[in-house]
Amino acid sequence: MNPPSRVIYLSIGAVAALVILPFLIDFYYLQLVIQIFIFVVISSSWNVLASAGQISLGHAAFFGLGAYGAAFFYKYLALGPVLSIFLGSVISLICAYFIGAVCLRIRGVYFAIATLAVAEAVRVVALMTPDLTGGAMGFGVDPLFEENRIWAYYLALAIMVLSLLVFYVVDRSSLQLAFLAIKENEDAADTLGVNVSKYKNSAFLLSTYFVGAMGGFYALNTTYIDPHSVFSAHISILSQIMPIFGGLYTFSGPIIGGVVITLLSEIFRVTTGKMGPLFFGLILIVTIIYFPSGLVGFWKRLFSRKEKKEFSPVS
Amino acid sequence: MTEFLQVIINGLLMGGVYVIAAVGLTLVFGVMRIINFAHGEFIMIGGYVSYWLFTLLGADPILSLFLAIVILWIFGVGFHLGLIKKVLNAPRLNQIVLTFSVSIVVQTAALLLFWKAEYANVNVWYGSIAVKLGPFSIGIARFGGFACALLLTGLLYLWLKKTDTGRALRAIAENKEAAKLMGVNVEWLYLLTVGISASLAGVAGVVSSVIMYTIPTLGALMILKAFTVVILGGLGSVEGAVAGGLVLGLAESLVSHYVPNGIGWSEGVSFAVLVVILIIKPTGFFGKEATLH
Repeated sequence: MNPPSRVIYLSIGAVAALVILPFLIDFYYLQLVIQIFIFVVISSSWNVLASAGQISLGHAAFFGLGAYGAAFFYKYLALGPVLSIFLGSVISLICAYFIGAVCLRIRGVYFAIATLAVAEAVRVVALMTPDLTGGAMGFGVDPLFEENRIWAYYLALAIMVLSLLVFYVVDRSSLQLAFLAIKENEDAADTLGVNVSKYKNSAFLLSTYFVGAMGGFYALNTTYIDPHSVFSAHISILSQIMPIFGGLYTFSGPIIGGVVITLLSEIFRVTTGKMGPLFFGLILIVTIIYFPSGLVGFWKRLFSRKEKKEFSPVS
Repeated sequence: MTEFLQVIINGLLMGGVYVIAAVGLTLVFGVMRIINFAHGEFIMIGGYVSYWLFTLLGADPILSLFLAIVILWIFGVGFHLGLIKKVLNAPRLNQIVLTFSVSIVVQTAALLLFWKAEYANVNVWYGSIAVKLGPFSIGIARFGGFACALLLTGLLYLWLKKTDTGRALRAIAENKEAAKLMGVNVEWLYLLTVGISASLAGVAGVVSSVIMYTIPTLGALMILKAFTVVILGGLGSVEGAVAGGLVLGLAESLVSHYVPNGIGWSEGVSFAVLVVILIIKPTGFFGKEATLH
């Protein structure tokens, strides 16, 4: 474990570099980096819930709810982009509160299936209420900040930094210990006086809030949303691939996974078109079977051979 | 009244497909405690076996049924030996994510292989013939699919209850270690279980290809319905899958007939049923365990 001061210097340096970055790169790469910000947030968010032992197969639901929420406020109430995205994330949070209250009563595999069903149900509702959502056609919104890409970039950066800050604090707090206890054994944690349902709900809200916020940002940034894109199963799939590939239950793993997978995703899109999901699926299979602790675990194993037996959270 | 009963009949006949689609899923869960998210993809492969045999060779789906059972058996055995076997003792997260990613790979491969997401129908000559039974009409193909589904499920049930192998499987489901000590060959029976499960999925695919259609994303559609069925009936319970499948078929049929714009909404019925059941009775109506981790 790095001493905290090193981590702080490192992150300040990284943020400073990211602040200067938009002046050095062109439009295409700017969009790509924004894409990376979005997926890093989704990746780290999924990891928070996983660290409490809960597997979500439907994170796209909250991305879409945030997207529709923000787009409604922006288009129909003509609120500013930042306020719209914030209110959109609140909508997603309120929905997550009720969905979590219901779904978290059930455990393990049942919870995973329930999240899959919720994501599908939300998509069907969005498709079947065309008066509100535009149905399968979706609807368009005006570009945010009068198409000033650099401001859009900074907004995405701000959301990402804020979310990572929150996740970092959570990672070092007693909350994380409660999550770990629940992940290892829910009944034992309960017996030892951990308020299991409270902590599971906290993990769920933490894990979905910033996904909703990024959904809102996505909606205003792409200026067009439809159920197919924002409630896409692809988002739910990527949300698992990224943290697992990077290294589950660590702070840096999901970030690394988010960056690498988004870049790979773009390379696949440019070179092979539709074959992307095939490669992702294969990456995930190989990772799960041979490197269950991801890139971070692989790295650690490579450079700390001397340390005898390291505690490995997965496998 | 006649109309209502006709809707009920249609629902039950459709429910038969859901039964056979779900029974393999519940079998694997019951014996191995693995939720196979790739089960829907086996159904889809079965659908394409039927479609290609019919389109290229003009083979009747009844014939394809046997071939689908063999082909899917091979797929199932490969799936078990290559992947499932390696995560049997891994954390649940690894198991779920593994089968989920297999489903993505197979689905994408199917989309690329058949190149487009088009509905593929198997238009057999008896496909649109219906028998008049008083005021009701019953499609032959639908009835055939229904009968085939319930027959195979019944055979599976009897096999589990009456034969030595079936008893051994149930012993593993109860307590794997104890069964091992009693000389049960767990390795071989796991292989058998996944093979049978995949074969049953293949049958579901062949039936779907005749009475509905097949499409590379058929698996994604069917897996959620199969989950609904097994959760309605209780994960791991064969008789529960029968009840669950028929209930889901009925519910969908009623919604699509009586709710305005019901065809679109009926897609959501399974999810609504799923969430409601998970809230009020997460272990389903036939599930024995109080909680599953």
